[in-house]
Amino acid sequence: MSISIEKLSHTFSQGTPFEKAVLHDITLELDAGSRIGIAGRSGSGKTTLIQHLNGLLRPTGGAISVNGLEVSSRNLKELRRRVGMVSQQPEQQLFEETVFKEVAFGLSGCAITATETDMRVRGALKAVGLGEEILGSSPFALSCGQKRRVAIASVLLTEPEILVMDEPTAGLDPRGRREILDFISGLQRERGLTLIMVSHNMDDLARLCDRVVVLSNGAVAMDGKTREVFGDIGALERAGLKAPQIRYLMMELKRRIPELDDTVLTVEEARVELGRVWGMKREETGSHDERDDHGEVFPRRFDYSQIGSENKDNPDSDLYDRCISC
Amino acid sequence: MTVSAGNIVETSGVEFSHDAGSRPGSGAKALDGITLKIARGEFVALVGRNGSGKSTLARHLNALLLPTGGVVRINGMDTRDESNLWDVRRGVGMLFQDPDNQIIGTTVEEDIAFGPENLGLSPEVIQARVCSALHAVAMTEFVDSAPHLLSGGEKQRLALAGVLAMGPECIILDEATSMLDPSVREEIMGLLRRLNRDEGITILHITHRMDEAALAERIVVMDAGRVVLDGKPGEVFSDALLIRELGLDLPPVTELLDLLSRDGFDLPAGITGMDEALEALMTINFGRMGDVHIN
Repeated sequence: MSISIEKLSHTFSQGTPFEKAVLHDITLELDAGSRIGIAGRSGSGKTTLIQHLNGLLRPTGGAISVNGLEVSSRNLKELRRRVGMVSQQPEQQLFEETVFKEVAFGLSGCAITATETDMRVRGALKAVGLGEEILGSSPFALSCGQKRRVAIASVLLTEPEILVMDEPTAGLDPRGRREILDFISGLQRERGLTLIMVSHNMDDLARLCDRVVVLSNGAVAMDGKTREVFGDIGALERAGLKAPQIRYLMMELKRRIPELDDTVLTVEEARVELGRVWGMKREETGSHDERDDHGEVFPRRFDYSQIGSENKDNPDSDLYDRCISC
Repeated sequence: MTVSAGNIVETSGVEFSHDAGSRPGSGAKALDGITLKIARGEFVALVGRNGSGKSTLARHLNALLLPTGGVVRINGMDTRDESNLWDVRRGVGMLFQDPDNQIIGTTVEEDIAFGPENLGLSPEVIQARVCSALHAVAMTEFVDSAPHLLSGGEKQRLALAGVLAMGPECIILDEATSMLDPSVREEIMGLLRRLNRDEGITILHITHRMDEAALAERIVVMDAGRVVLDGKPGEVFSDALLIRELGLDLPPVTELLDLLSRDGFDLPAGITGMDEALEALMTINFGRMGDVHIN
């Protein structure tokens, strides 16, 4: 599903002394199936922008449409089913007694059977890489990374086609962060989702996104392929950002090794590029990494072929659609 | 009991269970025998996976928590002795992840003055402290602003100013940079390094970012309530496998060198700095160029 944003503006507390314009004239086409990163310093309007994508905020100027469907009060239900929103630190909104009840909450009020609910909850948990043994546990007894996945599972329950995530790795330890990124990436590919991710972590964006939009003072300052955006260090730093550390290292190396491609951004890409320049034969080196069609390399930790596959061929999915839009 | 004059923090065999009161011996230990010394003027990074006990330890260092076993001494003062409480807290300031949790004033000036006022200082001294704290975090023009209208980075700097106004000897940052954008993070890190270098303030920085931890002089790694590694960044990051086992990562540059050495290039382990990394990589490069000439 694509999103079309046309001259979007947003002003908070319009008509009061506290009036504050946060977004100005944002025009963006977000293509179906792409992975788009949104970056910018604090207060640049990132969160405000994405809150327009499922109608949590309405534009005070301009328009936004999802798959040709203009965002308005009449189609909010449909819109929110299709656009899954994972807010910052989603684990803080957990409230139920058990993981099962927590994830199933989104289906309450829909006329579906207990068996159907059960199946969907298990499917969503599997999609985020959690086992069924935690269904009966309190969500508060889980680790930070697990809590975050439970919160994400509850968003996946409506089988959104667009997944919007606000700082999905903030506050996680390095392993939790790697795991969340890996499963987001797997899920995106498996379901062909449109992924829109806000992050302060440039390494995360470099690793996951094929396009990066940089906001500065509520306007689009940069927009392009990830390597192009992180290639323009001057513009990036003017917008208050930094390129990934590897990019700076490669730039320094390029001054000494002219044939080096210094636009690479991730550790794995740099490894491959240095190996190439130094004439290393890269037949299967016994490395346990896999390279995907975006040119990214992911350590193999999850079996992506398992993720979400039970939802794809679900014979009852039209029943499900009807329930959600009821 | 002898106290080494150079240590601001000394813990010995510290244990802590969250439910120690309810059913003795039943709870898992959040801290399980922590013996740690931090000398005055050190810049230490504390890392470890979520739940490893970092924050619990940090809260012991200004007596927000008291050990259920062992002893915590700050400047030689036992934190369990209530008569030491004010001196302990004045000595060790804490900065948390979310500045909203520690901002209470309705203006920036009032917020920073809150701590010194409670120390019973004279208005002139309070004013001087507020002024120098504002200056240190480069927020003088915000003196009359309302804290809730500040951006995230400004709020974090305000919270830091509030800590500085107490005149602490040691500042503990509990993931205080995790919600900041890259430029503000760099600003705060630069500010901390300056406070450490120029004012001799001891810094204990808890972080999940390994590139940030690598900037410290010393890294302490915790796991399951224990200290499992303690050393210079180069030493701590020299064992890539162990670091991964502990749920951590290498800093990007260190990881690149580690992967290249696994590819058969002869690179030393545990390099964390950009300059050292460049030097090591260029050595390899000259070696390879040599090969080309021979061929």
